[in-house]
Amino acid sequence: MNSSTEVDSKFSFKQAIRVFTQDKLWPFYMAIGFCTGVPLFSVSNFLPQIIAQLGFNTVKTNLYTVAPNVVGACCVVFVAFSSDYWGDRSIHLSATLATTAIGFVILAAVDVPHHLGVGYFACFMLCAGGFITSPLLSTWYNNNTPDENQRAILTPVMVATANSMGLVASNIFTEKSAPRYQMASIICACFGFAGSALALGLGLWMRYDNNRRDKAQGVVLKAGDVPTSQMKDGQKDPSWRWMGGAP
Amino acid sequence: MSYVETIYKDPQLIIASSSIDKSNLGNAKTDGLTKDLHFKGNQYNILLSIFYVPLVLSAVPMNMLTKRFGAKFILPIAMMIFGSMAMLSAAAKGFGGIVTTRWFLGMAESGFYPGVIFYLTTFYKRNELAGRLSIFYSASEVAGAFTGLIAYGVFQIKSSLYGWQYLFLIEGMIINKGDFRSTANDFQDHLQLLVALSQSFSCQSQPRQPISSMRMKKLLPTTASQ
Repeated sequence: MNSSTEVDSKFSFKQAIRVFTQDKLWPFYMAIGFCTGVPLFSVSNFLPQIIAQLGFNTVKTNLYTVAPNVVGACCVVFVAFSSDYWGDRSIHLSATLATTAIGFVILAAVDVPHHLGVGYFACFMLCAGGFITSPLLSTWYNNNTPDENQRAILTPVMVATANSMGLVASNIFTEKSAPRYQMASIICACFGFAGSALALGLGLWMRYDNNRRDKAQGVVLKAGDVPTSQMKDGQKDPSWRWMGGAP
Repeated sequence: MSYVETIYKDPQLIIASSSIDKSNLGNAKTDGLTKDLHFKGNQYNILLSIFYVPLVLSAVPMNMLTKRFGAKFILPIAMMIFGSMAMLSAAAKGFGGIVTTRWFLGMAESGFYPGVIFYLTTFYKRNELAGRLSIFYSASEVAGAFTGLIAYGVFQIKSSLYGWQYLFLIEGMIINKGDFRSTANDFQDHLQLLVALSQSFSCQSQPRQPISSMRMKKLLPTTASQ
């Protein structure tokens, strides 16, 4: 069983809450979660408003939200399976966040009402990169938390903190800045690039630490070579390798 | 119907309905929701924000409720609250009314994502989790696309009701219908099927232990008593 250290463990709150002292990386996941939250909720709440700035009438605007969403759905599945195939979360997360951020940069920088094609393409970029980030991030921290009890507490905490960024997203698109919402686009782009850098940094650190563990142990291992059920100490086990770091 | 269709349908339906509620407000705004309800200043932003407060606050309690009573009861009840609130939004006469419905929507949704993610992490191996999770998440974008299509249709209705009122009514009905379809036992069966299938599909690389009855009991608290 390559998922948990112990299967069928009884739920113990004390053991679960220990994840916040044992796992040094959760603040980084949380920071990435904050950065993914702002662009994600901006896209899911304000896509019709973003498309409305292209200047179509009400009925057409709503029709034009359909295609970016469909592209977004395809990207979610495609990028996720690619991430599983390569065993990498960091580069995928970093690249998708950057895609969304570049989309927002285009919306902020280009005079959208006069360059409809460019503006609509940017909307596709928002959806292509925006939605996939949250399943990738959830997978990443769950991959590196082998204890089931700890996962049960880490997941709602991480999801809730990322959701709290919905508060930011829903307040940056102000009535005053309508219909261009330039400031909101800039803020979303900043969060996107920050998250992208953080994900890349964390991925590179995992790669560095895996190499260090390889040297210390004298063998070259990849995450998954030793099943988690054989690592009773979880991350402290000498055979532990971080999963999802840069390949 | 293929197995894959069967097992993914209901959890996907739940995620899709939660996403419908998030995205339909934006569609409604393009049809003049804010004007018809006489919003002032940044009240639209407050309306959006209010959704996230219970979403964050009740995430952990909702998860505990789901663990205590089982997904069998909590998820259909939450979906019913969802659908009813979406339909009630159509009756809102002003800012206060619609804010109230959004608050309960946020509350009902809070347990879904953490619950689904956690359950999936217990079924799947580490290197196959992202793909499986993404199938669930993609439902929410498909729902976003559907909301756009429905909005495109209903905003062309000319009648005494506003277009956005039709939007809320129709989407609320769709969610409630989904709720009746995925009544408890169905959902349980499908979860069980999901467990069994994940066992048989995912052991190409290394053999996997058969699932123990104890583990099944833990995952599906309500089936154990039947």
